[in-house]
Amino acid sequence: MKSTLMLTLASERDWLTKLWLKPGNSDLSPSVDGLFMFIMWVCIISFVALMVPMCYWAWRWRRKPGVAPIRTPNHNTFLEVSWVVGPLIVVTFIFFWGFYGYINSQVAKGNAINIDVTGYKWNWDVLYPNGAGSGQTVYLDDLLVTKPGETQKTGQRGNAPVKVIVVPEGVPVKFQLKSKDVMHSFYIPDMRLKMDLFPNRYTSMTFTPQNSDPALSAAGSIGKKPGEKGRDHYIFCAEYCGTSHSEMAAILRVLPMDEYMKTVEEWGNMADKLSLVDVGKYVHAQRCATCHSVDGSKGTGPSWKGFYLQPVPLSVDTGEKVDFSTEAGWNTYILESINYPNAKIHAGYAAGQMPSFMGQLKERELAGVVAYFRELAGKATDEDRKTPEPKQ
Amino acid sequence: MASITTGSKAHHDDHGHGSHHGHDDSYLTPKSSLWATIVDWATTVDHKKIGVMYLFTILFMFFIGGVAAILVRLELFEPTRTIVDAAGATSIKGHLLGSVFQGGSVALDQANNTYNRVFTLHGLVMVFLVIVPSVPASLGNFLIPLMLGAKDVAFPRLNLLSWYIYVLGSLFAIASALAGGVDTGWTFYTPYSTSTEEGHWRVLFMIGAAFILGFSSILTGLNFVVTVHKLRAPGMGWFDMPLFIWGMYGTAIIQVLATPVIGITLLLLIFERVFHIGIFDPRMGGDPVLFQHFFWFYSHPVVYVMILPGMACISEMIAVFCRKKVFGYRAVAFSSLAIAGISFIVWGHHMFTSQGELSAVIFSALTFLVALPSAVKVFNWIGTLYGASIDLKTPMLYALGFLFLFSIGGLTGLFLGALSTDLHLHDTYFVVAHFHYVMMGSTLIAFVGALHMYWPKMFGKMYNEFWGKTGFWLVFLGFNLTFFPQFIMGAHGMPRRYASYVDEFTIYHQLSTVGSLVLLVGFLVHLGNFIHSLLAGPKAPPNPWGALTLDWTDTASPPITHNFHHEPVVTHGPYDFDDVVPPQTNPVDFPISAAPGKGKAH
Repeated sequence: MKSTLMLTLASERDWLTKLWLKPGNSDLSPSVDGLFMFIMWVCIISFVALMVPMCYWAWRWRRKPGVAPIRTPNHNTFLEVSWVVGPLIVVTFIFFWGFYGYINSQVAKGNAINIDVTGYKWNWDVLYPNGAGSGQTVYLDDLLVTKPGETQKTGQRGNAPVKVIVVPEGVPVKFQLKSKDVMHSFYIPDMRLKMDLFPNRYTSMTFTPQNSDPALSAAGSIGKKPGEKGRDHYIFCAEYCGTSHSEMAAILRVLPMDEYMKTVEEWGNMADKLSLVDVGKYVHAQRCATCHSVDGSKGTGPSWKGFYLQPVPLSVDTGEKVDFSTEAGWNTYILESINYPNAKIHAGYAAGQMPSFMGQLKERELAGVVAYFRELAGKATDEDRKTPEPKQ
Repeated sequence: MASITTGSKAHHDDHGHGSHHGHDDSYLTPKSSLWATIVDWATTVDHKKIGVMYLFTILFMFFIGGVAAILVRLELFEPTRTIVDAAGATSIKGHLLGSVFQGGSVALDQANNTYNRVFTLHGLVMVFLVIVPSVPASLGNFLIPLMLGAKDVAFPRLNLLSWYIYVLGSLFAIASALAGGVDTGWTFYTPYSTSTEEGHWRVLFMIGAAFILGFSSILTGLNFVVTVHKLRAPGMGWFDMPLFIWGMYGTAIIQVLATPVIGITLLLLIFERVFHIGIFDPRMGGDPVLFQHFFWFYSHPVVYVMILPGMACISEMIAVFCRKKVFGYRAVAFSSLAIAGISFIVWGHHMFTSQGELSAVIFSALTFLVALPSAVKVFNWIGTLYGASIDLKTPMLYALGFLFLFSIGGLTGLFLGALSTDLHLHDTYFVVAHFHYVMMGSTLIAFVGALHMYWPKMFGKMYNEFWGKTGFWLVFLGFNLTFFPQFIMGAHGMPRRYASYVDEFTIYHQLSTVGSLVLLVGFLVHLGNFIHSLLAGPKAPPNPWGALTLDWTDTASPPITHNFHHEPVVTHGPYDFDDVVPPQTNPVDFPISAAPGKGKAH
């Protein structure tokens, strides 16, 4: 019923509001949108009040041969004071309205759910209170969904898979933000909110998602399977961060509270339920796919395809002997690259691009990555493909 | 205001003399040989020649920045997409730049890198090499001594040095761009600018270019401040100065006070990149927000270095083409100084998403203050139209176009000054549209308008009015078509500096790209018109618009090398159109109104 009400409200927005703002979905949006439209009207009225006399006078007092300009006063103190004081009153009002909305987006309510977000070139990591990360990725701008075990359809798709971040409907959430490398900015247009991420400090932002009706999802183009619950919104990186800045997106999905709890719990146990290869695929899609392809094409980093047990040409010879032909030597190299990405650089690629993932992957996830390498080289074992027995 | 009436007779005698063209040659007269002419220009200390040299170098850089802008727009015509074929192989579509610069099909990240370099080049060239020096260094250099009745600026050699510094800085920027360019964004935000292409000289060259250009800016500003203080003609009090001079004076003060800060900041950034001294990069113990504070402490005042000269031109155009004293002259003059002053305490509004709550709130409140003097100017300009005799020639069309575009640019600043709406709009296309309406729609529009107005004075040739007006309408319509859709897509959440975007923004990007091509055609029309004027334009009379300032009344078109035959004496205010028949004109063309009952206005 509530969602029907919201639909009605959304459809009752006047044409000017519809032109300028997409429907908001946070407790902040009524205040922000109200202020936006108030300023819009101030602008329209002021603009018309300036342009009408300007155009009329430009025509009325156009130059005619032999006609001199008429003598008029060169200034008028009352007029000049009033057109300073009048706007001053209006902008003071605007300032306090903006101040009110801003403070509400900065000071979290006591019952807010804390969600950690880490930005890095060029993806977002999310950490829920139970230790879960995001367990789903989608492509923007098409309906292809990559979930573990699914094959891709053909067609047009966005350029990198992006993560789904779920939040509960009607409960305040607080995003605690930090960056691993350069500045980023966590921007959710439909929540009317963004905040910058820094490598040397925490920042935060807070809002209460309002409704989870899937019919109201931001655009028809967000990759979502029919029947999937929740209302989707774009998340963009708004602070320029280099090569794939425009691909550093994510999806914010507002779910009913019970669905939210279920999803986060499921994501927390994901690695234990999938086969090693699927765990590797999942980790890749979550964290690695922005830079490392699995189809052999060159990205910011080398492709993973056919990489396993192959000798890796290094850009700097450290003098260290690495035997890439043995599993032990090759696995050591890969694990070192995950923990210390700049220790050895593949020839033809720039150093300093990849952040360290030390301590962020569980043992089973690391094993899954290696298994996925084996799979991509056609060398996966039965053990790699075996789905674990459900735990009691 | 109060005009000085002494010396009135001598003044008119001067005109009789000047109009017959004295023994002196125009400053444009070539020397005996081509080589001698080149040496003469290269070593000149004549403010007019330096102004003209600045004008052509700036227009050349404007061409480069404009090409980069068109490339950006073409790139964004459609979003980049990965195409997956039935065999599972992928390819890229919709990435024009990558295909052009990297030859055919390219990897996505290579293509993105190209886009990032092109938009960075556009921003750097347009800000540091075009808009900041545009009006002051070209028209300011040319006109300030003429308007003040001086032979030259206070420090002519310093003036020439500043042009050479500008050229040196440009060469650094061009070298960096030719070697592949940089992808830092014109703001050089750390730690990205510290870490990108670690150790590569290109980035150092680009930062170095901005550093060097700062000195050119400081020297020009210093020169103008001293010139305005010391070289006004006898009889010209502060409030007898043309408003152009007031605008330039405010600009010069900001240039002298603010530019050293960016110099120091860029030097620190260079030290950090070269010597790894941790100042801004957290990996070495620095703080990236510190860089933003330093950067905007310069770059916000510089927004007014960009707009004040535009406003200065508009005051002249409106007064002369309306034959009216600018309404509330003193308010307009003082608002230039108020803008210059307040501009130093609002830099934090660029950082609402990256600083603490208290400072964000304080900066938001201060930001609204700076809106007021700008609003005062607009009210006064429009008030000037009342009862005027408005000649809608190209410069006046540009002045009205400026009022239209600057009103939009200024009013949309309200959305960004308010905290809660800024959290939504910050770093989106709404901001891009806002600052283009102010920087391009206002400053560059005023520059182009003023170029038409002063073209006859600078080169002694008239331009073609029909093609001037045609160019104006193309530029005006193209500009609005380019940038108005960007407000809407910004409010819908399209972030800036994106090489690609989600499908729903496509229509706005396509409108914008079409607009940019119309804009390009408009500028080409102006270019053709100016070239035609130089080659075959009719000779310009000394005072074609019937103005009352010394640059029109007491000099020839083009001016003689020494500007004036005699030191001019100011006998009336710059805008006393009610009482003074413009000298060096046919009085029939510029009738003055019958004196009201009280007799003399002064």
